[in-house]
Amino acid sequence: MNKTSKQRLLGLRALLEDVVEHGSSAVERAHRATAERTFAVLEAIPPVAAPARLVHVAHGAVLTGVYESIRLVNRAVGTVLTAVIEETARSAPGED
Amino acid sequence: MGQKLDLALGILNGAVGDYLVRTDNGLALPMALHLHGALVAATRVALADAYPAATPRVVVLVHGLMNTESVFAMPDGRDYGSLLRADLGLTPLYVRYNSGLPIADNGVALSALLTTLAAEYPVPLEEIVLLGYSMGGLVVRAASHSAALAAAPWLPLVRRALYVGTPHRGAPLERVGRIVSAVLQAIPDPYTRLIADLADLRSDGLKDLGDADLRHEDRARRTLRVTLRDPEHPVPLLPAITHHLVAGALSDERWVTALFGDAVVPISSATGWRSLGEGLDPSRVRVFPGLSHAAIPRSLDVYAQLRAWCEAP
Repeated sequence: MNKTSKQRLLGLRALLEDVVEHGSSAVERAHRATAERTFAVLEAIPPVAAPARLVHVAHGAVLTGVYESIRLVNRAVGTVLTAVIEETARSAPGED
Repeated sequence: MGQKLDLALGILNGAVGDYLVRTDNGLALPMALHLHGALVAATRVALADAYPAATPRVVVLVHGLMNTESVFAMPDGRDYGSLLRADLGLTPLYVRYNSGLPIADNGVALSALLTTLAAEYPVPLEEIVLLGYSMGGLVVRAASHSAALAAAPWLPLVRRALYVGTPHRGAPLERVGRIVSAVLQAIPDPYTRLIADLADLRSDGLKDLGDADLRHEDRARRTLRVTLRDPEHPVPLLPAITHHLVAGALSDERWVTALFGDAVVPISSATGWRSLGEGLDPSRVRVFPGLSHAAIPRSLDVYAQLRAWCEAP
């Protein structure tokens, strides 16, 4: 693998990681903003306000956990791919 | 595979090339000369090796947004560069660059590349012909502007510039995109904003096409206009160079031509001489009915006109 190919593979890996990272954060923001609207309505109704607040907190925690998990796995896959590309380039060097 | 990969990288760079540079991504294309798909370093040895029969007159071909130099290739493998070499002895030099960067940055980079070329070219240079397709024409203009300010040594070698389907007065499609993006951003809905954010990811180079912004100061004062009218351009064509403009038109029908131009660039923008400075001879502007924006960089009819212009003293 030559230097250009290695740089491009690492670039592709970084780009895919960025897409998942930024994409999941953007979807999380939209998801959270939509949920906030619903909870705001429910929490304004006295009979259901208290349980709604509990669900709101739990929902927020689950939301953070799910999206953070996606980003963690994404970063881990990125680290593994980087190591694989580096190792491949080291074991099979090519001319530029 | 190689050419498809190069084209894919060209498209990717046009779409998000500014982001690739900001994040130091290895997929970002540097501005460089290419020949038969391979990079040619701008050094005397590499140039002599790549062009063993280099001639004192060269034509520098600059592709457009989301392209590579392959955009000039005709089905039989010839292109404007190889034809000018065969007919007039001009050595074709193909520039490949990251079309997602601001046009101003690519102009400065092209000027720097031509400065190096003027010093390293294997035989003394007598003339440089600049040929830009679509955005490439704006990059040529930005490079000329930058070279004029810096008194670059290559600029006096340029006697003519050829612009093929270049949106001198901007591209309405990008201005429409800008308005749609702003409208979506204004709607207070998280998912609509998400779509607006995605739409806004388009590159600096693409955004520059809206008003044909050649300088950073032009980009800085960019405003959102509801009108689709072409802007008057603040950077005139350099008077020391003869400028030749080619425009495509989808049809012979006047109303189709007026409405759609070559499907991407309106005739008024490709031939927008009123905003480019006085004194542009009408004989240096040619409209080709029946040629779309995709067809105009590889047409034998267009070539015949380009050749005629290059033959003129």
